[in-house]
Amino acid sequence: MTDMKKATASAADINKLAQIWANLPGWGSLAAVNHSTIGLRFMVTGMVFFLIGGVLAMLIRTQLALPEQSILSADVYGQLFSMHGSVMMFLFAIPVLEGLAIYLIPKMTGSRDLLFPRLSALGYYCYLFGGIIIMFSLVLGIAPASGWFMYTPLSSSEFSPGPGSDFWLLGITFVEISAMAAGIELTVSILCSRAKGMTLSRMPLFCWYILVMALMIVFGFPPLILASILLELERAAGMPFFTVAAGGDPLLWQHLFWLFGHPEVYIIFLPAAGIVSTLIPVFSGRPIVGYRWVVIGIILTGFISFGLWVHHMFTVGIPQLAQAFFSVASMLVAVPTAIQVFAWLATLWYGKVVFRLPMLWICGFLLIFVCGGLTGVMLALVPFNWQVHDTHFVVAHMHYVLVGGMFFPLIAGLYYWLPLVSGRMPSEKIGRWGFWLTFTGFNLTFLLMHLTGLLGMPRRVYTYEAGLGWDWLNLLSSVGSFIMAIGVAMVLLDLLLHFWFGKRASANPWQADTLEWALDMPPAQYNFASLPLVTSRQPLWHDPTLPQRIATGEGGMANSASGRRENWGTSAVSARVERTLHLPGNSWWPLYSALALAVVCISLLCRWYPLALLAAAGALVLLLCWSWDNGANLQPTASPGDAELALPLESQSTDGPGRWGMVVTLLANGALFMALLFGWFYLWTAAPQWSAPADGPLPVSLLLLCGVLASVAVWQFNRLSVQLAAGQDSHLQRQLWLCVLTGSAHFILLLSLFIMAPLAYTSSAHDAVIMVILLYLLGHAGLAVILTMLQALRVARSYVSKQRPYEPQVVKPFWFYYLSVYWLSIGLFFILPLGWGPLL
Amino acid sequence: MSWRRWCKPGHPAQLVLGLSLWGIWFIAMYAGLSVVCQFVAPAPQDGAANWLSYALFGLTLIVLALLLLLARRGWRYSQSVQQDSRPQRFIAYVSTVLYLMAALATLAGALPVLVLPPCI
Repeated sequence: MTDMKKATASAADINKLAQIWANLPGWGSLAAVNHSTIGLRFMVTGMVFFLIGGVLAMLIRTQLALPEQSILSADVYGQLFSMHGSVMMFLFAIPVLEGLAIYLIPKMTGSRDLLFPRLSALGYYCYLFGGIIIMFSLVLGIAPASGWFMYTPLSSSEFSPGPGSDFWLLGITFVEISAMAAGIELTVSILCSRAKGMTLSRMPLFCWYILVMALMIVFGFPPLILASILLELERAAGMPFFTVAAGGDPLLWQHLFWLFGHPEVYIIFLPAAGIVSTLIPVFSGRPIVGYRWVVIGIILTGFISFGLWVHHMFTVGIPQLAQAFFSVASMLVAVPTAIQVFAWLATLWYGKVVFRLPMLWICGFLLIFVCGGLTGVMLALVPFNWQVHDTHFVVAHMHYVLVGGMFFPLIAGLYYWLPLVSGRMPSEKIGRWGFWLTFTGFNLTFLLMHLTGLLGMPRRVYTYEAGLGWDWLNLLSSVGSFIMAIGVAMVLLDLLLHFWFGKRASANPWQADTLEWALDMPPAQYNFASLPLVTSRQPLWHDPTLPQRIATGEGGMANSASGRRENWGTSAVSARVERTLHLPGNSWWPLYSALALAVVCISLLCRWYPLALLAAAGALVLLLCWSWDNGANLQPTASPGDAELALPLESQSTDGPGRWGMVVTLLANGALFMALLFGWFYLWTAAPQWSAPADGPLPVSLLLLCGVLASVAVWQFNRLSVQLAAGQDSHLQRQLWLCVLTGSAHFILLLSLFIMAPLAYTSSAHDAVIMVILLYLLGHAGLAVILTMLQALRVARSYVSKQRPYEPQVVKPFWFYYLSVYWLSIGLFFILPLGWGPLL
Repeated sequence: MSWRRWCKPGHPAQLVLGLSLWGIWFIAMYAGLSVVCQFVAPAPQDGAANWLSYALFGLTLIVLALLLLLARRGWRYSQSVQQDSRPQRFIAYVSTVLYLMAALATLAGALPVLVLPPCI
């Protein structure tokens, strides 16, 4: 540690660190943004939703235990199974794993917090409010009843006239803001703020898993967000994207949903597999076998999982070559999974395995998940898929994959990291009872369900006739589900009771190798008293004195003299220290913004459109105020603690996490645009009654003129930001206002074209899509102008200058993105169709 | 950030380039098949021996060749890079295997083209 500050963390330093990183007291804790607090809130809330989803499952199994029962009506049963799936997938599985990642990633990467902590807080509140809104529909007895994948036309207003579908569409979209926030934040944090020396090749495998999961969220969620917006527009405004008679196609929903839905399975599986890859080496007492191959497996899974979505749609009438194509891809995804499974088995084989409580759950996982994976390969075969489509076999397969692949590793992980959170050990006895009851109950429920499905019982029927051969299987499945419920209750009881009765944990109780175990138990809000230097993949095995040296201030940034929440910004591959980051502290902006968005959501549900518009404007203003508050300020720019390293602040550089965050956000935005493009071409080629006017809806010459204006604005912005990066800021404000002027001219012309366009958006799917793309472009153009205007105002207050050239470098990718999608849209939505008339 | 840096075998972009090429091939195959079948479908009696199947398999061979070339380049780089450049060596090795896996996925995905008629 030659180039690191060697100071001693005095009690005064520690006190100051604690003061800087503390949450506000009392109600002020609602303004907390620290990753430990937010991560735990995600997990606790997720567990509450899990209990609700579990109760719904028990009601379903009670109804199905015997034939011809009428405990639940068909309608209530429909609401229950729809809500069970939705709650478990959207309100439990993803958020709880996000929470775990939010809690652990900075601790594992040797960092003090995630890089956009206020975004984490916004994500949490969107999740909480969205979840409450969705659950409220159940309380009112008007919950969605079209299943958790909401197929059209069943979920369309014709067959679901009540507000149930609206609750799902608006609530889930609201919750997805949270997933997107976590996806962006985790990606940038893993890439830009690891401990010094923690190169990509030394990164803990859990971080690799979370990195790929986060990127999958970034690319995988936008298709569902788009689909939800389109369906809600159809239901609320009559825009017929999924109505055959008006040129739409209900199958478009299935494509968009499963474009999200299949990667979603892996979004859930990957973090859980990350837990497995973390725990198996620890309990085997040796590094994982084939680290590089596991990384290969993770990346492969991330990509291939996007090429399987059609296997959910084998029965809808797809050409046989396309079916074979997706069938092969579906089987291929077993390859990276198998790589990981063999790496785990090899590690167990070569290690000296200690069967502590978390390992029981890992063994359960291995057994159940491999079985679920094998039935997955069976389902990838088209003829077999046709036979068991929409039967209980699929339900059994899904639960083997999701409960085996996610729930078992999650519980293993909770037991493993519990001492870190509480400083206490769980009860081995209650834990083992909990495991065996859950394991037995699960297999009794779902192993038999495979048979029920093979005997022909369809999923989602609320009752069945006696004598079809399903009676005893269903009864045993229901008995099994109650055994499982008792097991889960024991686990939760153990988790709860250990806070009071658990034995005090010794330091690093599992003899683990990763950095989080170098912390106090429970850890301080700032995690590390000084930032560690990492020289191997197993830092604690390699250097057992590391925790002591971190605590005594031998790492970096031990001195907190700047009085700000400081962290190192490091390079993505080599983890070289490049800059000092000042992370934002406690703030009310996330809560206020989420509340405004909740008002938008509720007003849309109630069809109070003026209020929705007002609340949306309010949310925009709040978010812009937040961005103003978050930007660079005029406080001292040098970081006294690291003066010897002469590290620049983010605002003094031209690259940094904020810019990375913008780029990752634009990747998500691009995925949404591509999904819209997919929808456009899909309707064109596949919708049975698609029709497009011979002449385009807008004059191409004016669209081109509009594009020229946008190009000029981008050129202006690019020129000023390049000059600024080169250290020239003369006439900067004037140049920014000039860019605002050009951008505004573009926006006004586009708005005029939109207002004048003769779009029959309620009777033609073609015109409805054109309307959506125009609104998309208008929204982006308007935002680009507003962001540029804010930059001009910040120049006036010296927040942006040649000393602080950073912010325009963050806005620049947005302008370039907008220009790209503008020209692509003009080409593909307005010019290309002029040439396809003869083909139709 | 120049494009030349991105193209070097030790750059992290290589970790996703091979599978991105596979993704583009995948979209081109599926979308191309759908569009062509809609407007100029080959005659069903031709079976798998028709111009569309040949075109799709031709595209596959081009992508396959590109992926194998990239794998060869990555492998050579991973062998030549110095021991102390561990992150670059790691990236080169992992991306080489990913190129090979992408090539395997491309070939496996295209095999049905040789035996099944495209638009039925």
